[in-house]
Amino acid sequence: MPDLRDLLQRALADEMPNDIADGGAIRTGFDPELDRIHSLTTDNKTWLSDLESAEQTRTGIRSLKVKFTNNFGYYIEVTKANLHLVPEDYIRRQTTVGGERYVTPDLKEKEKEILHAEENGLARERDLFAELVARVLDDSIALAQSADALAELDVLAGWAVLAREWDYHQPELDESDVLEITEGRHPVVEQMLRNPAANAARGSQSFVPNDTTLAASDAQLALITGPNMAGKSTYIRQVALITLLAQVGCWVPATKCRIGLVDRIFSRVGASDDLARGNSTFMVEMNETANILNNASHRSLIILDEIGRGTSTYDGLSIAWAVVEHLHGAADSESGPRTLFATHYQELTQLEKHLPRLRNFSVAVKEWNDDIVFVRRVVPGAADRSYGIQVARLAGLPLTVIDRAKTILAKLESDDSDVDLAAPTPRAKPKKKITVKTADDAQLNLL
Amino acid sequence: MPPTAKKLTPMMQQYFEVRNGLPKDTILLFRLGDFYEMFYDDAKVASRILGLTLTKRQDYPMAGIPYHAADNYVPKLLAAGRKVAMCEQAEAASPGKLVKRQLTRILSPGTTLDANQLDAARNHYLCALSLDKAGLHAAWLDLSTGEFRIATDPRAENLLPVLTALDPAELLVIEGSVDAWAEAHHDETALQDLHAFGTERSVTELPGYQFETATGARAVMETLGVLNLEGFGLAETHAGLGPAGALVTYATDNLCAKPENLRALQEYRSARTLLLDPATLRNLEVFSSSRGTREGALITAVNRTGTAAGARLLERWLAAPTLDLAEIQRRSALVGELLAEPMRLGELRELLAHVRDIPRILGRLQNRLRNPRELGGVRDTLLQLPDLLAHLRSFGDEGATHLADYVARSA
Repeated sequence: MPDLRDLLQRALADEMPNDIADGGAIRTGFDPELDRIHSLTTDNKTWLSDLESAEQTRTGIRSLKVKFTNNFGYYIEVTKANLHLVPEDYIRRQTTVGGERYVTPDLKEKEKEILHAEENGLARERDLFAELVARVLDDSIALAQSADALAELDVLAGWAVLAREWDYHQPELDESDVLEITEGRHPVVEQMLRNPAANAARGSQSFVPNDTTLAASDAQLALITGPNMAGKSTYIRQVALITLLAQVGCWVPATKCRIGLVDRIFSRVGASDDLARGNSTFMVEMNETANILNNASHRSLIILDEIGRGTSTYDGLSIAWAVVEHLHGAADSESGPRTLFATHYQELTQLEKHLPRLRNFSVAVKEWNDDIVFVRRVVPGAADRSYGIQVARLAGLPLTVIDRAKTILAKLESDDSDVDLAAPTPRAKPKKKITVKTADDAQLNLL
Repeated sequence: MPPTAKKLTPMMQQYFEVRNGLPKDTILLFRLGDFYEMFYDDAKVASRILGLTLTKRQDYPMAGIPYHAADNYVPKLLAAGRKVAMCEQAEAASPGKLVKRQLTRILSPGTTLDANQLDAARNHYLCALSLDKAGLHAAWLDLSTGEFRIATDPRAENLLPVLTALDPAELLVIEGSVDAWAEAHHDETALQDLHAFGTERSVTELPGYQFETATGARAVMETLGVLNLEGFGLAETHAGLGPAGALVTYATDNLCAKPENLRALQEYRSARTLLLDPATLRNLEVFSSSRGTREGALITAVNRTGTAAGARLLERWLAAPTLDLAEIQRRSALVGELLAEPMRLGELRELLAHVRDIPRILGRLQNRLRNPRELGGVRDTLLQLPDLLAHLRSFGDEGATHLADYVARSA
């Protein structure tokens, strides 16, 4: 609408006031009537300054001034020293500390004119402004459509910049049931790792990318085992976030990505600090798990992190086990929701033999003598150990405790027996579970 | 409250005429010359919240703020969970005569429109809810932009994802709902979820009749200025019309006028949206990090927008990701087009940076908040359009051209 644009350009001042009552919203030359009123004011200002110099000459008072206040209007001010020079036609109005204030009939007449002109000017501006607003609102639908398109352009142009900054690639979306990610990264953690401010002590680190291959009718359920702190949580969340980004039309932090449309994403952590609703943490965890099992469809994506952690080991393991079985469905079922299930229960890895669409993965750990190094690679196959004691050592537990733990572990392991898969509830001995509070590892701490 | 025995001055009679019509939790700012004055309990409460000196006029408590500083004080009262009613002088003062005064606006967390009370980069919703045997019924409204939506679903858990993601500033519910949610048994999951949803925000309870479908349908049609809702593809028996009616009535009361920027009512359908329930949004840190900040959340990591309206659109897209494959591919392809021309992309973003917040400016102009600078903003934006369009068209592909056609509607 070039009309509206031209109108506003002609009508509005370059710098607009904050309040229409301040005046100055309308550009000179737009409205003859307003210009006429303004020129009156200009003429009157000239008249006032002419009056000032004329009266200075007539009275011989060089310090004589014509002034204005809101309360008294226009007046002539004469200092004390010059009072004897005041002519008779001055009418005294007010005495101040420094002198006297006077008016003359001419000045009063002019004052009326000036105030009237200012009032008229503001009223005229107000009217013109209201007309312009009405004119803009006539076009409000078109303006709103333009604005919506610009907002969209802004988001998409921003994503183009993001894609270049962080080497995102275009995901392929279709109606298939797959979820394939090559060299995927966590969009938030990766940026934090390279942010020098958030990571001053460690310097910049690069994120270790990982692949994912899921399909509702094939590799439906990925069971990821490995020690605490090794990056299981980051990995499964990155899959969910990449899926979300792909489905809003953004590019993704992965070199290649193909996703069959997902109708729901469920993400749950068997957490220990979610007290938002005042229920026990375990009750919250189970309510939320129930919600997934009741609502997930074969198009859903499910991310479960240490489900069952909120209760005793036997209970927790049993629940985790049953949840995996439920999500997979009967051994001869065709498909189920694409699922990533991170757990420290080694026992669950045996389910691979019975559930055809379950795949075991683990986060790789390098062992050096008695030390471990996290390499953050997710590899096919179950983790053989949980490395809890090594993690505890990395976290700075006293050596006496570590040594004692090793002795206990050896004892427990020698008594351990295999889980009987036929039984509904596994009879595994409790594995040791160590909660690590801190670790010098940015990829995890940042989550 | 007011001294009934003593005879009130005419001005205080005027004060109580206005004061008595206001909902509870509302503080009345009564314009007296260059000040907004508060009296009685309002004065006591506000002086505590704002750290003002409590004075006395005759024998009743009074506290005041200079009118030009109201913008600093009002947000603090709102943040403390109060609503603020503004009563202005409706005519110029003349000696010996009581000035006519008029209630001009009631400010509440969900109905403020002033630029300095809104986060430019966030959507600002007022939401109304009702739950019955047929399911959860909801309507939400961003008065600052005129976005107005309605939804109903037999399962509360299908609607709570989008409502949680939209994070409304204020919630309207039927009287007694808050207590019912709080006392819900742990297996009444819908009530539990609503309780969790409600505890995080400002809740206003209203009489149940305001949530009736038939009443609501009439209020909605009147506000939109239509004779029926067929144009929006909605039946007049849509269960979301109850909450929608409560919304427009509340908005009308608070604006002291019909909201003028509501033009359409769109239905939200959970079946067309990728759903992320509240726990998932939290776990994935989509809108807020585990520390409760925007920093460290996904939305911040993928936000490279240069305009406030762009930032709000990103929030809406993430709150309700579409299941429409063609739409997803259109966006993703456009990202590719823009990415392929880095120079033009840079120039385009440079031009976008000068675009002002048109949706909110329009919203305020339509609702009688008329700041000349904002009209200047419309001009400044229109002046950018020819260049923006030329750049956008120069990409030459279908998606960019299509978008350009929309931009061109007001160019």
